[in-house]
Amino acid sequence: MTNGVPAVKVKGLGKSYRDFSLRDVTFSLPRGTIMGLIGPNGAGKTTIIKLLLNLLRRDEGEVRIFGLDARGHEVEVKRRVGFVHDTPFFCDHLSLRTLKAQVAPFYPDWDETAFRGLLDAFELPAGKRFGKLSRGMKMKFSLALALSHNADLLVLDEPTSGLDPVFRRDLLGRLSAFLQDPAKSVLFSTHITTDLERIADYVTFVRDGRVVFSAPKDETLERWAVVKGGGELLAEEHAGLWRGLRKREFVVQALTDDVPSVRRAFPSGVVVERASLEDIMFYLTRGNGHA
Amino acid sequence: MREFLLKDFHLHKRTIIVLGTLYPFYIGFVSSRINSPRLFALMSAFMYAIVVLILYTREDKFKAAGLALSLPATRRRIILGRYATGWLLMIGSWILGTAISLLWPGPGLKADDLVGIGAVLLILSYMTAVVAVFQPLTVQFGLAGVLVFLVGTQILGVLAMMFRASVRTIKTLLGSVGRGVDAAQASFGPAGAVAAVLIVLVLVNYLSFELSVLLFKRKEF
Repeated sequence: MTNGVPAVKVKGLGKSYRDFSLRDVTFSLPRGTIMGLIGPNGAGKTTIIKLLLNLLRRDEGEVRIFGLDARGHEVEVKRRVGFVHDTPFFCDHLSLRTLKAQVAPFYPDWDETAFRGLLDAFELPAGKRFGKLSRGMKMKFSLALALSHNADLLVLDEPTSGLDPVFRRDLLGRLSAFLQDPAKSVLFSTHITTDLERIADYVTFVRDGRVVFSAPKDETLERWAVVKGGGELLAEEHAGLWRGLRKREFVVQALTDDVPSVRRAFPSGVVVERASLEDIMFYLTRGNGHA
Repeated sequence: MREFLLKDFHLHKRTIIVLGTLYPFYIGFVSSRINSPRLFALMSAFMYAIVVLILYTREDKFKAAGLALSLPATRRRIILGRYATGWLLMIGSWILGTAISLLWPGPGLKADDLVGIGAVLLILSYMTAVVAVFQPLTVQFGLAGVLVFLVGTQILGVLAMMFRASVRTIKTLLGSVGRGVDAAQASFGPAGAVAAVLIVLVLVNYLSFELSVLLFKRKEF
């Protein structure tokens, strides 16, 4: 019954502020997969996550989590979601033990054994005040809470930003382990694209409050390429091939999502390299490109 | 509801212990110096309500609303938790304060002025009046809004006191709560008065609660 229902389905989501607006955000996260929400700072990633959790009121559109309207079934939905905010909403003066005592009663499926196991694994002292923890430890604690109530969906907002590579790898390993259960899913916002290339199944790229693309990661990496050549790339008849351009003194680099057309247009040779997610993000954001 | 009470208790544990103990002792002391039951009721109700207000204005500082909204709870239920915690605290402090007052009797107030039906209804009425105004204010504006409101009303109060007519109006307003309780007792008898006043208090709390829910639903974090 629920197998075909995506973990998250967002359709036409919109939110307007005086100086920023999120428009027509649409994507779908299938169960058992991990999606990276990428984009430059200020693109709207955190706004999307806050809209999913009803911390913000949406102006338009639809958010369905496990097939349920996220606003109409708020309690049922949130019981099945583990969240890790970019800036955690925990009081600095409370100990980890007390914070757990605040949060745990809200979850009927709270697993105390799992929580203690995670505190041990993350080397978090239960009696230490939250405000005394480093950023990495705060993130670990948030993750320990999120993983201790049998959540079916983890929503993580920039969990790796500002963290050292050791912890980032550790976190990614935890997320991969979480996804061993095919019913579990992860939505993960970040601007550190190398993390996503390791573990993501889907990528949704957001820029200026709009979704530029939302597609399987492998398909994305196969589709997009960086083309390196000379001034011939700048010819007006080729302008439609490029989604972003970068001119240097002797070299022109361009991002394309239509490699076959590029090969036809330049039969005598330009260098075509597979684009990384970072290349895609860079060119679409700064490369004078038009998505 | 238990989860909300626990959440707030863990968050405000020290403040509850300190204020919840100091205030009742203070009220107990004051009761031995005051000889107007109505003034005592007004002052103690305000003091107990202040304990609750202090707790909820601290939420801004602790980002507590953001945490509550991330947990599996509707906004209506979060506000219901606030009102329940607030009333529990006020009633708890009041019981403690009254016990201290009874054990520490002064020349001014008799036991009936502290625990008689009229006194109880009066203090509940004043508590309701304070909570009904301040809870929606804390929801909408947090600490800053309440401070602006308190300072603003004090300035208005000073200005009003410069005019005799205004002083009469303020006295009339404050006295109307007591007169309402007296009138209910005269009209319905003791049992009827209790029922009538409680119905009005529940209604006022309910309206205040609905206003708070409305404001909270519009808030973004």
